[in-house]
Amino acid sequence: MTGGMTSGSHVLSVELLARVEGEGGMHVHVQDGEVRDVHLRIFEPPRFFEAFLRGRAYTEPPDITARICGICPVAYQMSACLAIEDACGVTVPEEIRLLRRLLYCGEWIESHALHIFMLHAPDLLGYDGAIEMARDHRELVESALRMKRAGNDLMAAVGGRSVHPVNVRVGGFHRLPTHAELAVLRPQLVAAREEAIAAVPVVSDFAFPDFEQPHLYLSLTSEHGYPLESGSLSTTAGLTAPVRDFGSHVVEQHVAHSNALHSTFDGQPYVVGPLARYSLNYASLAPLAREAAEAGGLGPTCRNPFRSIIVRTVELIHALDEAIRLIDGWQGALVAAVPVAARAGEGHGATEAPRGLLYHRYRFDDDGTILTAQIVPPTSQNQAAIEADLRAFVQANLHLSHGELTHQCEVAIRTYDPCISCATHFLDLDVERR
Amino acid sequence: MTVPPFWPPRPGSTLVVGFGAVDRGDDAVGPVVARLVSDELAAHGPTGVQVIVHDDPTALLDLIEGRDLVVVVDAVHSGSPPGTLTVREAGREGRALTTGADRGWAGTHGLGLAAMIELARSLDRLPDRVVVVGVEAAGFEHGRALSAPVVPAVAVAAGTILDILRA
Repeated sequence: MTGGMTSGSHVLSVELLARVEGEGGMHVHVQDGEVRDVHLRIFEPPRFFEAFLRGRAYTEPPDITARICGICPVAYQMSACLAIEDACGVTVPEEIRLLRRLLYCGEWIESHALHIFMLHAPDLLGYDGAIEMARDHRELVESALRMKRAGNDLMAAVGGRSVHPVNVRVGGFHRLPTHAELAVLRPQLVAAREEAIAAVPVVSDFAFPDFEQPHLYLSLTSEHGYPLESGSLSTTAGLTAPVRDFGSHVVEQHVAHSNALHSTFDGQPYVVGPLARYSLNYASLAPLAREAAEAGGLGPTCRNPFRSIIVRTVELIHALDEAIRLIDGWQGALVAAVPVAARAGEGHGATEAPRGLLYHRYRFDDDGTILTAQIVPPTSQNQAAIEADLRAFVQANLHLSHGELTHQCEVAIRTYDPCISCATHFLDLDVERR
Repeated sequence: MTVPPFWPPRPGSTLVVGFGAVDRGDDAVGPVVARLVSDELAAHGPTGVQVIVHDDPTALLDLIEGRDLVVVVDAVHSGSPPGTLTVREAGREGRALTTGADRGWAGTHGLGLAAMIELARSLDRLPDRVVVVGVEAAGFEHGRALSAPVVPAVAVAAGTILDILRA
């Protein structure tokens, strides 16, 4: 089909989105030049996790919830640990917090390198995917794989495995890495940092659609620097609040077209993830990362989701730099974990997964048995904003051909790096014009 | 014999890798078959074969580095009856695999096993011989055991892999 779609009835459809984690889709209905409906359809496995966590021991959520996602298991482990320790009245020693932060850097490096170069870059360079792109841009893909491997190896050294780490426990770790095990990672991380810095001109040289999202941004902010493993809630509306207040602002609700819960913050759609994190924590970036942001044409905030590839690259540089800094400063720890005794109560935990804020809440019986569990992953929180963005984007681009607009919708969704395995089970894109 | 989740790759050796998550129904078939192969190799040989289980196909590029022969066993979903075995030559001389990314079958961020093999082909990093042994799955539900049709396929798949290694 050629020409625009400013009149008549139209359906744009992509059965299954490629290059996202999990499967899913979307339905857009355009009638006489007006976008009528935008529906993101989602089935959500974490709802099952919340159910079968009930009755389990308070020590189990880090390992159980890590299985929700193969891309961000550390995020689940960290948010679970914080929530459980909050309920049990335990604050881990500084050394354990630093080691958690180091492990989290590994996950960010792995996840961001994958998304920037293998999932998002093919859209901008005009390829169907990384396989096709690799034929013409071999060095870019090889470089991405080296950066990803640096993250994998860091995860393996601190977490015991590069996927679904097994070394995390409530109160700390099962085993501390040795100085030698961390030191051996340093050259690889330094090389990866150089490669990430070298990628900034590449990822910022694309022609990005002129689009800005108006939504509220929500992220953690932390006295410990750019937020990863801990922090407080912060929004672009100026609100700051402890994590325990999450439920006072965020309301999850069922919508008819999706099994996933939609979230609103004080009644409005909101965004979590790199753009929110960056815009609320620009001053906390490592100097090298801030220089990279400037070189990439970013200011202290970014509201164009299509430019998120630059923001992710800045965060990749930050995570590599932070990992090197943490390894250089590692003094060891007296204990791998502190005791965490069961007690009745409720705890809240939130950390910054690569895709955004991940919230856990648990309520325990006096012997530590889980009575209720709530897990709010980033992609679920972003659903309403993604739909709102797509509505605005489609409305502003009805002059495009059916095929081009469909493609641009899919690209737009991928800019969020949606993790549908966390938020959903199945998604397909279906844009209807009547 | 227990197979560690990850052994450091030993370039030059033959590799058998079972991909899958052990707690997701028939997705466990790769690791289960790999463990059976490992037991048989320990008892009857041949030696010099490294057996690995892994649940992230994106690790494949690192695992295959420097190998001459790689045998990969994984659950597949093609519409065949559950338990059906498929054997595909996918190395330098083999045919390109369908990645299934356009149909949402490609796993982690669209980079599933077939996609990683084809990415390795694009980067000219594919060993001379890669054999993909697929076992048709019935389901991938969290917490489920192997389905009844897939259980008998485990021994068949392991036997097929051992025949390849002993040929």
